[in-house]
Amino acid sequence: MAVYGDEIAVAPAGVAARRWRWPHPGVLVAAAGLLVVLAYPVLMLVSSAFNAGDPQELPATQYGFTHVGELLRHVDWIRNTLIVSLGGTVIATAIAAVLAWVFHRTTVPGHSVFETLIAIPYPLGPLVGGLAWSVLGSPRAGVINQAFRHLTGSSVPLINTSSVTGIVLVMAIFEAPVAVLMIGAAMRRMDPSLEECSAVFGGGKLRTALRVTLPLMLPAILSAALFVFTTMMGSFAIPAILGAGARFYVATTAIYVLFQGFPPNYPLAALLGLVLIAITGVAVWLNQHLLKGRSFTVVGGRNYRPQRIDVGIWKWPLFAFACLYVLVSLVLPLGILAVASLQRTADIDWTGATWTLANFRYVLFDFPTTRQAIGNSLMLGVATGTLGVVITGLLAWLVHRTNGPGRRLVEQLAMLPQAFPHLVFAVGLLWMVLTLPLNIYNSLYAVLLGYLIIFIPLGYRTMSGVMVQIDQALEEAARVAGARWRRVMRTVTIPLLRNGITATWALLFMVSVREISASIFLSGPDSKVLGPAILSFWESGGLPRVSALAIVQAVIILVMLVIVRRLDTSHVEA
Amino acid sequence: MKFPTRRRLLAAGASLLSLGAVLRAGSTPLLAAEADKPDLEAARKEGSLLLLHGDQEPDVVKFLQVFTEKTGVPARQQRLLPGTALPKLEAEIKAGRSDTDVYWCSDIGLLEDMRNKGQLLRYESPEIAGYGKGFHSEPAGFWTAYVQITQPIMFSAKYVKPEEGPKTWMDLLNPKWKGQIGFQNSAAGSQYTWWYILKDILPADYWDRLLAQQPRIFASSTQIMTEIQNGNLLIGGKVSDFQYVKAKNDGSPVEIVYPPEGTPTLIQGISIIAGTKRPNAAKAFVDFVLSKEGQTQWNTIQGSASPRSDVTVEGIPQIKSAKLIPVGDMADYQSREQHAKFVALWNKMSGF
Repeated sequence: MAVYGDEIAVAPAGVAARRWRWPHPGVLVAAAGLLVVLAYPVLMLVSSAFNAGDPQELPATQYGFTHVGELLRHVDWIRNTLIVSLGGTVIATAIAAVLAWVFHRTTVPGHSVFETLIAIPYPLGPLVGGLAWSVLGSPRAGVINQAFRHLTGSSVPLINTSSVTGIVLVMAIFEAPVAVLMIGAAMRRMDPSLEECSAVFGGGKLRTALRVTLPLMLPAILSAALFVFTTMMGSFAIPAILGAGARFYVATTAIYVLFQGFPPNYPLAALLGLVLIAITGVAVWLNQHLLKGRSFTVVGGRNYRPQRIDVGIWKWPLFAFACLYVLVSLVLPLGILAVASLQRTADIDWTGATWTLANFRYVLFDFPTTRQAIGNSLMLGVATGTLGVVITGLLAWLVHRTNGPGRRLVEQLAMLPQAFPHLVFAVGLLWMVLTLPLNIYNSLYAVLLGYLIIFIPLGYRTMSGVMVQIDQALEEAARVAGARWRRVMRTVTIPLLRNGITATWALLFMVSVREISASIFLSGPDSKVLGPAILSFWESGGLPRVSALAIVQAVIILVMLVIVRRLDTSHVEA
Repeated sequence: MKFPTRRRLLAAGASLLSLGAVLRAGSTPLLAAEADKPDLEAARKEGSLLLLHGDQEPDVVKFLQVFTEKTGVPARQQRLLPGTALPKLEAEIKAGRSDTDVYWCSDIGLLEDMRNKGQLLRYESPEIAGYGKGFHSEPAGFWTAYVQITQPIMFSAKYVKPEEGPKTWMDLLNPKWKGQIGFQNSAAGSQYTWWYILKDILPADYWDRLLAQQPRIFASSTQIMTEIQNGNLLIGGKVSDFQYVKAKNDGSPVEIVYPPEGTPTLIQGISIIAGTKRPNAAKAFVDFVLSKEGQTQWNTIQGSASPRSDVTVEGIPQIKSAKLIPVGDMADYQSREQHAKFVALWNKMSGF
């Protein structure tokens, strides 16, 4: 089965035609559609950013650079964003590279169990991570610090998740799994012959790992690092939850604050959003250009079964490292939220004497907002998964299975939203739906449109990754045998893509259910979804109830993971 | 020394405010009062009423359930603090996309501003008769107070010994509370009102000194209370009094302090949006909220005090000795300049 991040390199869009040919009609439609839904919100942001008149005017009627100077007085927001993104990326990538190597290339015990467990924290999402670590690691009342004080008598906290270091670490912990999957997928596809050569010529295990495996994996590691970096640049939930009390703001939380308070400062928020888009855009461009021309001949479409390395005495330290990661990314966060969800007040009672299930009854049955949010999130997950698979599948097909010009443009447009932090893009999209004569403002359609756009790169990468691995000769053979396009798709292409479709659907479902940054702006009174509902509960519902809701969200995602794994297993067995 | 009651004080203050607003409104065309009684049958068919508010969401949901059970009129809610709600609402009204029927706002100044822009529907509910002068707009019907709230200091006796806790607003400047005082963010109407009232009472350099204390800023008074209860935050620099009632009901050892300099007190207003799509439902809701039964229900759910003199809910502390201070000058209070000044200061206060 293809998993998210399973594809790293997307094949080039084809050989350029020597003489002018009309693009495929599908390419024209796709390019035009993508251009409209991407450009309009960005233009709304540009219009607001250079609004020199009434800051609430949409679109602006007077333009100027008034707010550029204001932004220059707040370079700390951008500096903080870069600090947490760069720091978090370095740590997450380092963790991921080690774990991917441990799981895929060593004899460390339990690697298949770890591989399963490692897939869980990413779809659980940063909101769950931020909430859990705010309970675990706050300096005064954090559970870990209380235990530490109790055991040692120390007055100094052991950890502080409200500090910059704490925020960076929590972000790294919850973004590392996607990098593990991306690097791990490349490791599975790596031809082991070069490592075997190194071993034949006397290279030790460590030397082979550092001098052969690591350089071979560098493109995949770099790609994963840049993916994590762009995600962290737009990260909202963890800095919002952990940073607010510490008076620490990154660009996304600053934009959120600029939207609050009357009168609001929309222009500064939009300008900051554009700066964020520019920085992530440069990162995405760097990603594409650094990987351009890199040889992937040793990391091909095939899966190899390279011999696992016996790491000797390092086996147990590496095992302990993997256990520690599972502990901090999964066991402790879910454990503390489960305990907090059984409490009556925010003051945690460890004796169990006052524990209650009332908070679950409240969020599942008594409170209409959360009931509606759960239902809407499930519906949106299904819709985003289904429509997302159709859209990104068609885009991947157009790029990789048609001829003619324009395919490269479609691919670049499909990947463009990767440069848009979700929260920033949602602001532009909100203004778009408010000003256009479309009657979808405050509706689930607006949220769905937002999800489909922001998750196109994710779906497209996964579908493309699978499509390029399918031999085109099979489809050509069907065509030669007289099958028309529809029949080729129905009998050859789609059955071959089945695993990729399942994986993409599940991935889009899970990222939709856990989404928060775009949802806080796009959801309205009738389109409440889980992410903002949890945030709202965190703001005004109290710890026990918000914990119960976060646990419900986690269960939905875990059930989906189990179903996908079962489907995958039964398909493989069949 | 005997201080006047909170209700009297608020009434006196709000009378002044309303007078200022009337003078300020000047040539603003006043909408004709809609005195028609709501048609409940029609209200039930209009669809689900939408209430925009900044209160605690669970409390509002519970109250709406009571309203629906009582009238058969379905209702929904959206929680947004006034600073976030108003720009959104204004953009929606401008684009003709507003679905909001009723607005509960903790910043009466903003309601006056909306009224001056013709964004509020005037409906003279018969229940307004139960409210003294100053608890409703002048002329009546644009907004009416549905709750009165004081903003004292709070802390948990589990983490701060009562004898060592702050007794005055000046005590908040004690270095031992550095990084340990919590306030609400700049979007909260009650935070604006708290600042607006105290800015003329406390020394001019108070705000710079408070800034040096590096207070921590939260999205709601519930969040502040959560942090106080679990020991993450030692002092709630401004916490709505109903949180004290809730905490006591949960058995939490929370202490409340009404500083001798005076404690800001405010009223929150209910109003109908001029372009409401569900006028009968909106009027029925206003009638219910302002009725004796509605007030008793809301005060019981929230733990707050009613502006109605004939409503006294058991368990709500009756403050006789505290010096309570309402807003003085409505025209100044509602001005964009004061709001902008507050947002700039409070953003600095939150380290923004």
